[in-house]
Amino acid sequence: MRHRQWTAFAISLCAWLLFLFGAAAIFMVCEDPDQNWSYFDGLYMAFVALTTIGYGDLTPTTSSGRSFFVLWSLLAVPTVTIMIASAEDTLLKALRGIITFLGSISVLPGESGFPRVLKGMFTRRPGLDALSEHVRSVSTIPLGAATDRHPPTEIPSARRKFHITVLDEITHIIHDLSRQDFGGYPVDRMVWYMRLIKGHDNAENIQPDRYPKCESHSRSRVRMSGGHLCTRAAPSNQRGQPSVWHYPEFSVGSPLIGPREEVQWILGELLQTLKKDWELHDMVREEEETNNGA
Amino acid sequence: MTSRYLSSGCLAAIVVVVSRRAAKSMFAYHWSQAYYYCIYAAVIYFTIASLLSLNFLGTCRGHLKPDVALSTTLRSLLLHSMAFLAILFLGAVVFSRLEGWSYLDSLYWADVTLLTIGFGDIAPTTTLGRALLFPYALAGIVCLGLTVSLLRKLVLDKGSSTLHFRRLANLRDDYLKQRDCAGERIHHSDRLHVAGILGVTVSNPHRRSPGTRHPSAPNAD
Repeated sequence: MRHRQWTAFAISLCAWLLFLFGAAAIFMVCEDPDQNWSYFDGLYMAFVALTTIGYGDLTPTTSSGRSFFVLWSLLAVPTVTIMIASAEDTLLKALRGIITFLGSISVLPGESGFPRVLKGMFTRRPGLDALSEHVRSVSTIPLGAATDRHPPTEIPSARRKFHITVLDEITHIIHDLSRQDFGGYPVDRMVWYMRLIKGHDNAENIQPDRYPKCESHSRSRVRMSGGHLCTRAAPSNQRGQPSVWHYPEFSVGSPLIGPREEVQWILGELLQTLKKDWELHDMVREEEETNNGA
Repeated sequence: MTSRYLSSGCLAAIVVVVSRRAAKSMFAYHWSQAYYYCIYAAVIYFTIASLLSLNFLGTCRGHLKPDVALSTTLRSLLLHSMAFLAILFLGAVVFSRLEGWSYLDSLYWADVTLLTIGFGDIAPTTTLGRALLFPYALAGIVCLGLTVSLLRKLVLDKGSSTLHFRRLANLRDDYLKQRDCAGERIHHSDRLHVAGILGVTVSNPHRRSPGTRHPSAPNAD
């Protein structure tokens, strides 16, 4: 997420510089016969126009300069706006820690008071501990009975226990989603969630930590809704060979897009799994009751 | 696509013919703005036609999906940018009539105005023109702002997220394949290396604890 935003910022910055310096050269050439512009004049004009300052002391007057200006400004000015917006995403976030820290010593000293914060500045890592403590107290939202995380190893065999595990995981995911610094889950945990999503009955059939290659899998066939992922096929290593294991949910074209959306998707699927499992359970029980009644 | 190439060719032909004739004539010519716009249009049409044919070829060979999903953001971006260009061009027509400018000078003025550059080398002088500037500039600037924000939302966020996700997906696939083939034999440092590329953490297989969290994350439990 963060890396992505910095990439976007770098790309728009490069585009901006390219627009600025390229256009300066073109304006110099265009306006040379009429106003005898130097390269710096062109650069100055381009900058004043791009930043929408618009003094108007140097403006294009030749027809070539004016026509190019219209085309160029329609492309370049939005680029600058985009660059400023992405700078907001990146630079401001990078500076947020410092801003929070400055705020904590100047505006809102907090419960511990101003001297404590000041003292924190001169300890081993000046400021950083106080800062991280502050950020932590801001960014963590206490959430009920959040127990320890189930290690992503084995699916509980008892149905009730399975449900409790899923509910626990849902609690954890909601908690994680509310965190500012949430950076996505490790692959192993993702695999564990995928196994949970399969539901109680199917998850048991799948060998721990791996499930077989799906024959019907194609890039675009993974459906978003309903939670039917195409991994319900029976284990396919009848030949006894260790076939190449495949995780269609993680491959290109799956419904999981981007770290945060991915986790939201998993949340939805887990809820669906619970619902289906309960419905199935009810159906079985109803059938049993009718059988008993008959 | 073909028609794009045709129109691009026509424009290029016009440019070539006109410049030949001008070169032959004795008089010194000043190229009008229309001449330059003609050149730009030819170049842009050619680029668009080439992109379209690339897209067509890609679809034929099966690299690209044939259906283009028009999301709501994309649709509204199209609508907004068309509305902005319509405001720009129609405003240029109206103000060129009112103020007695040539149409292309008026276009230049409208561009400078709506992008809030405001050089002031061309400015409306009649009262009607000045009065009409109020609604015109408001509509145009708002429309441009919406277009830019939509563009940002669509191109930057969506485009780079797709790029990011594709990379992530491939790396994950590789990692999982490697893990399942070699089992626990993958060295932990390799895992950490992969994790560095993935931008996520990978749990230590030898440490069976719930500690598979992001290392920089505060202990949320």
